Amino acid sequence: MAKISRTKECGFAAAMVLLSAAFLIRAFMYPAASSQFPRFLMLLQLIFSMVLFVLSLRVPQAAGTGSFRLATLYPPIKVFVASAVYVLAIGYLGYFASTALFLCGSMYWFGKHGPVVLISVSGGFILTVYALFVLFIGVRLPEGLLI
Amino acid sequence: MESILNGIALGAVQMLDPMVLLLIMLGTIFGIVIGSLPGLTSTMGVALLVPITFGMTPVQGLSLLGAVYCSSTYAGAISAILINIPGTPSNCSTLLDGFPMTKKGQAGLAIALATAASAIGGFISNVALLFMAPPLAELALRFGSQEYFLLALFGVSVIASLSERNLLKGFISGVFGLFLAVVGMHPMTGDIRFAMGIPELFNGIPLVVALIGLYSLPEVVENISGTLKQEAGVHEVKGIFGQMMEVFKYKMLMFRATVIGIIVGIVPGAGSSIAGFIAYDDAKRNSKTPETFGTGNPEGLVASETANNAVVGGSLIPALTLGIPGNAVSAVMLGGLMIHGLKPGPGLFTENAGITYGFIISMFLANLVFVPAGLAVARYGVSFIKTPGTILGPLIIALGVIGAYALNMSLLDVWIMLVIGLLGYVMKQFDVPREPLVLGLVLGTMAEGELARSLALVQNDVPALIGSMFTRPLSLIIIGLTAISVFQGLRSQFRQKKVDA
Repeated sequence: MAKISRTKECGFAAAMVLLSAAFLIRAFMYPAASSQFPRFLMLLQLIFSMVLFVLSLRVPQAAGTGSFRLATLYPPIKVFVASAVYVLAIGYLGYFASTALFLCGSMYWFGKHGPVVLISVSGGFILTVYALFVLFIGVRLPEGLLI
Repeated sequence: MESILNGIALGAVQMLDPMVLLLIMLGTIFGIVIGSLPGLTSTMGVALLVPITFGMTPVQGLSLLGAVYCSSTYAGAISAILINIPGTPSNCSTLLDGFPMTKKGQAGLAIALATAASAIGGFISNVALLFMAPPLAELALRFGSQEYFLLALFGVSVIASLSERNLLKGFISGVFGLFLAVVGMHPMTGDIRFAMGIPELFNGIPLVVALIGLYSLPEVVENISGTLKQEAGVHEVKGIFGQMMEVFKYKMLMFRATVIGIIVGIVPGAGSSIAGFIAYDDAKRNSKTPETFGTGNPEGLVASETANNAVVGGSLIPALTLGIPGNAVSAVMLGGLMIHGLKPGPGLFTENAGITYGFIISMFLANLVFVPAGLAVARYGVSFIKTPGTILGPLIIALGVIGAYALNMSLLDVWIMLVIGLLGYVMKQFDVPREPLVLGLVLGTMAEGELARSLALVQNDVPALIGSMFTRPLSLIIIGLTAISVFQGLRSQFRQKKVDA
């Protein structure tokens, strides 16, 4: 299990304190009969987060990986941006067109594969989804400007 | 006993129909496909086939449905082991050690063990269904709302054991999971909480959608960044059938997991994912190497798979004897039973003995058939993970998207999956265990609902509720088990800290 730095640990604990406080306040805005359980949970969460914050202050500064490199953020940004654009595109272009574009685009973006790989993998996936989900199970997939 | 044996003889005769055997095989293959695809659940698989059974004899129709139920519950383990996405919610706890085994190069062994453990768990729970249905069904009837609430608390106590080195972060994760589970409509008052005005959230966050996001996207990021290292020559699939025999190293573990699965199965509403977690926790407590759980310990995998398949027979006990389904799938099965003119209740085992026992025997056969069928699918599945991360990653995302969408045919579910995926990634970065969050999500709805019902029964008098918990024997047993669970969890944490120091 990777050790994490004090700054990171403190930051996480502080974020959790703020988040649980916000949810706790929100819980009190609902009728008491409907929000006792979430109130209890968020109060508990607030206590745990505060304890974690205090404990994280004791973590030695030198512990963990420490230095932050911007390059480590590229893979998650790539994955989440590609996924978000894909889901957004489904609503406009339709499921099959956006899936084909997403698979080809992301495989190229992530790994620079050749056209044969891109077309065969995307085609195989789309055919499988069509046969199983549309023809057999009868799922109505989103349609858009294309297909 | 004589009537049971007569019933078995009558049921066995029904199995001589070649059409029944063919339907068991087809149902098993269908169930494996449904179960191994994230987003397609056992309930969906059985429900899809109910209309098809209209034109069949009762035994043929029920055999088909039973085969889908058994095999889909097992098949969720395949994707959990290979790509870290549980095919069905039943397999949440399977990935805790299943996927680490794949990363260690033991994908073949993991699938072999999961297959054998599933078959054994399912087989023994069918024996319980065959011989012990009436007394076990009576036990289920004794569970009131406060026992259900305590059962949920017992489940939550497992967090201590799932949180490895950082108990506090484990609790934070678990409480957050419980909180996410209360999003939506209050079970008693109907008030909508924390849904941000989004109608799709009124019924809560779908568990399957959350699971897909939580476990698939963070792994894709690792795949892309190359941090998900797999050992060389890892995907050994030869002799997978022989590797199944290794499961017999864990006889006692399987016995305990089966008992847990049957008991959780007969308790209506508890569900196979809870059984998996409880059995996983039990395996860890009784293991000689508890510190290796979560890093690819076969014991965790075997316990989880044995228990969730043992739920199958267990859930049908109250369904067949009392007409009370143990879970959503058995509710659909009950529907299948009724459309064939069968009325659940004790009479089912006497007036329609041939059909009822025939159905139970068909489930035994389904548990045998899914072994070779599952291994065949897994053989190609293992080849799938040889694919480079830069190809596998986009495929997993696309599979996750269609899985999240197919559940309710809603694009909003896909967005929820992405948001929870981001949450899973952040949790991983901050070293927060994701398993307690899943446990919280599984148990939260049940905990809140049963607490509200228990309180309503005592006119919101909390001291009276606490008092009654300590006077009802079944409640006391569950409280005792919870106390032991918490105590053992804390003790192992302190031991671990001492070792680290």
